[in-house]
Amino acid sequence: MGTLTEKIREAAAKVLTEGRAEVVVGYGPGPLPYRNRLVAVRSAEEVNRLVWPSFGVLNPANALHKLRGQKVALVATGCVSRAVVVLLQEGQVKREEVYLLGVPCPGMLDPAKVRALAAKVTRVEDDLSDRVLVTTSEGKKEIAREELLRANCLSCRHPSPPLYDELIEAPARPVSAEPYAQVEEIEGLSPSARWAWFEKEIVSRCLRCYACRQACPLCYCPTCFVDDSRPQWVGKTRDPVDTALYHLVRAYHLTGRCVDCGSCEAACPQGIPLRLLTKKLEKEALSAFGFEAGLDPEAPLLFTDFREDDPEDFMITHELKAAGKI
Amino acid sequence: MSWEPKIIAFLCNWCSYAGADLAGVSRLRYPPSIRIVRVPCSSRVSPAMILDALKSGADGVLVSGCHPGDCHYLTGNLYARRRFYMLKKLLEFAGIEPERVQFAWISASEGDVFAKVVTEITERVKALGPNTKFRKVLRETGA
Repeated sequence: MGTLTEKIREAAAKVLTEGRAEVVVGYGPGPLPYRNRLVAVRSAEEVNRLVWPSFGVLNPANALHKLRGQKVALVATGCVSRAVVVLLQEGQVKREEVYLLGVPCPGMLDPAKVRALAAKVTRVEDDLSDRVLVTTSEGKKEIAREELLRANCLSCRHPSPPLYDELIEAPARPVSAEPYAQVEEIEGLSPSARWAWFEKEIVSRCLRCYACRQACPLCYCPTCFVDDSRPQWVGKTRDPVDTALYHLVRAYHLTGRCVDCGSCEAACPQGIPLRLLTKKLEKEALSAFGFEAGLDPEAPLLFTDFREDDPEDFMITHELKAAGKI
Repeated sequence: MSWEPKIIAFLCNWCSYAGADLAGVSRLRYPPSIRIVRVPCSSRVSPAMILDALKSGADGVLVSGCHPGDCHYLTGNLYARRRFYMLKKLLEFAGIEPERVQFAWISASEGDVFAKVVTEITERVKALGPNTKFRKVLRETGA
């Protein structure tokens, strides 16, 4: 663990002293052994606050909105770098205002999986090898790292950053062989079972605290559609239909943009599987349009582009024509 | 009295709305289930508008625009097609009956196609029954 932390500190100190950035945003230790928090470091003397986070679940790219106008360096794993690429494509960030300390990502551990190991977890030692040493109230346990990884890291297609200014050496996870296994499980259900899943796992548990929206690096509208009052798309109460509408439109607004960093799920106090809706859209964008978000800052976004031969067999006129009815 | 579905149709000003008009002046018969909202282009229709229609009590939603290549704004319908494809997949994934939300290309000269599409959608929505999943029922207050 020490070596990657040291490399990050060294690179951050260099970036700050050479004036490539005014502030470095990365992760520091958190309040619990299985938490890391985002920290902003402004001078080379402070870089010891940075660590390699085993539990870096929130996306530091979100800080770019608050630090707009300043030159920001980010500790950027695959999903952080991809979120920055989308922000560049959308004109939200200027390339010269962001400096990416790329880190090929070995995957982050899931706080919920570690917390579930014992009544009290006092220490987590992760040297990025195959095994993680967890000290708990019930003694020491050695657990396969793979078993403790976050769901989005297990299904990650881009552990290495596609865009960076310098690359810090680290052992990247291999590209997931089954990125859509979780999505396919839901797809296999009948429509009524899918609705039951959606209602039970997402709608009924949601508190509508909008933590998922706040945590998302790509939800940056000054006025979100849920806060609109004329027209009022989403009612202010916890009516299930309003909650369902919120979740569908929130996911939809990330179509062709979501980089599957999992911040939404990590921020959710209810542990709602929010990622599955956006992951489904990611799967469809890849299979129908061969599109993946956040890989090339020069490329158009999914919805700012089209092809003449985009699929349209889902349209009723297409269907009626095929059946000879029109 | 038997139940008749309510279907909200977002029709583009340049093709589908004129197609609906042609169905009318040609005196073609189609079910009176449709409530038309005229929009400048099919790409004007956002998913929140479609879901809001269902939430407000519609049993089905139809969005119709010009055929590809026919768009008054040249490419509006081509952008819309991608968005609708993705929306349809998302709604299916969440278990909302896909038959309730339909997309069509209807030109200004296709009055007959408009009548046929409305008839077909009405039949399909009738077979599904009223929209109960995605309808917001305001509860009595003070009771």
